[in-house]
Amino acid sequence: MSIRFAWLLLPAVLLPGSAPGLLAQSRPDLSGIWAREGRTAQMNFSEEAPPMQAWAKTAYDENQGHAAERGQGLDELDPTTYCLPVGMPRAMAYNYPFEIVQTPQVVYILFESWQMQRRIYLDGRTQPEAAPLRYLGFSTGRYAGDTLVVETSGLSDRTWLDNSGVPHSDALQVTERLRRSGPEKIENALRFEDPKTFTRPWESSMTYELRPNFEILENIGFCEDRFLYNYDQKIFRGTVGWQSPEAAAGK
Amino acid sequence: MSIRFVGGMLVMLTLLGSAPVLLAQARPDFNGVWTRTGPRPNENFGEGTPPLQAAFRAAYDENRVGLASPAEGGLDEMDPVIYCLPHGMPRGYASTQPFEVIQTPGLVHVLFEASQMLRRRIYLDGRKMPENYPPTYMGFSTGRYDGDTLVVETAGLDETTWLDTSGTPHSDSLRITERMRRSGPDRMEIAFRFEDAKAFTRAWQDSKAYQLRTDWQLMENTGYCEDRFRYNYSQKVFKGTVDWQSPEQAAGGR
Repeated sequence: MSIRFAWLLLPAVLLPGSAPGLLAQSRPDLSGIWAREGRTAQMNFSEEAPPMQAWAKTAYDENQGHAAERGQGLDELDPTTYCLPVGMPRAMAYNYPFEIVQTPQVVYILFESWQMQRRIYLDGRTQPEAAPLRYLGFSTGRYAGDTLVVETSGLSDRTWLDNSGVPHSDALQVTERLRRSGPEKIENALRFEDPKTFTRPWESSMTYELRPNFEILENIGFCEDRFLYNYDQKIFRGTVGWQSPEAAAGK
Repeated sequence: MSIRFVGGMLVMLTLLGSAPVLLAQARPDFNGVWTRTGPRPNENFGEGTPPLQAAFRAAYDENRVGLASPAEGGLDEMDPVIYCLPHGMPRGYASTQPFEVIQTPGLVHVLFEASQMLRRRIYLDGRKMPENYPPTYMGFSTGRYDGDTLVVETAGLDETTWLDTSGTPHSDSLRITERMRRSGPDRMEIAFRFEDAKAFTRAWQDSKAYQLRTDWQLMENTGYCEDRFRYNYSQKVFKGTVDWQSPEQAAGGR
């Protein structure tokens, strides 16, 4: 056997060991702790109200309290006031930090608010037909050059799309294109499609800044004070087997 | 050249190509989704009554009034999770719901399905808990690898949790040491050591075993109170009480 033949075998031996390294280098790095840049008082996806169908506009106006100027939705109509999670996509417009952790099969987005865990599956998996709707939906993603493209569906309609109180149905599909647009910036180009709610798809853009000195703190949502008080006073004593009337009626 | 020389070169090149894999194997791999082993695992730590100091023993007994068997869980109406508070540390590890471990170079994340999907961050960079860090349900955790074991120290724990489902109370002085180790191809063991100078008469220990579930996904979990939240939201039963304050807050104190 000649040396020439041995050299031909060289790439076959070295490549498997180094392939993961090469693949990792071609994958955009989105990892780190991020928060919305700029003026985050308005945690909305659009300056003006998006293009809504009639029923949605009615609900939106009610959520806005029929205010003359577009602002934050009314607390008393906001699901988060009732201790429900912010959910998707509202979490992506929130001004609390989140952490992106990339692994080969899953990209995790770990939010400070409500400790929400978003999983973006990269392995092409689908969810079963009868899968339950979720506040964060079901997300799949793929890398396209320098961009992570994410599709989210299976969203519970029990959330506001954003802080202004835009409603949505369970047919909502959100597409995000996340791209490292600078050493300390990620741009997220979002597209919202909901044939039951909007008159046409519409788009938005969010920019996040890297916050290397931030720490994600524990946050169990807006209702913690209420929980602690109820626990201290044992206010559910005697109602431990609490059921909504529907559940009690055997629904 | 001889075949022996070529063979030797191929062996050497194979070893070089595998070096990254060999180095990675030196650090134990806990990545994945894990659940308790056994068909009906006990959701308590330790056997029988824990070694509690007097005041904490009284609280434990109050959590268990009328219960016949030591194996039974504490009373629902005394259990913080019924009031929508989290399981916290270490109770999440005694749950039968899965958790997911993600190892990165400086940090190990543990994501729990139980209790609104709380999670912990185990810092591996040698940092210390900052001064005046507020107590949290999951505590502040630091860790280091010791051969095949990840050793984790946790402090800064909020006292408003039960240590386990039996209703074991603890103070904010609780310190937990965990030794995590792979005990088989799809198995992990965590040895827990509990110290609480205010609540326990001595340190005590327990071990739990977990199995790897390669085809499991953590499901979204908004906790025990989700039905209640949904009902309140649909009925707007907080209407008029949106600026809810406890009486203490309303009185201007805390």
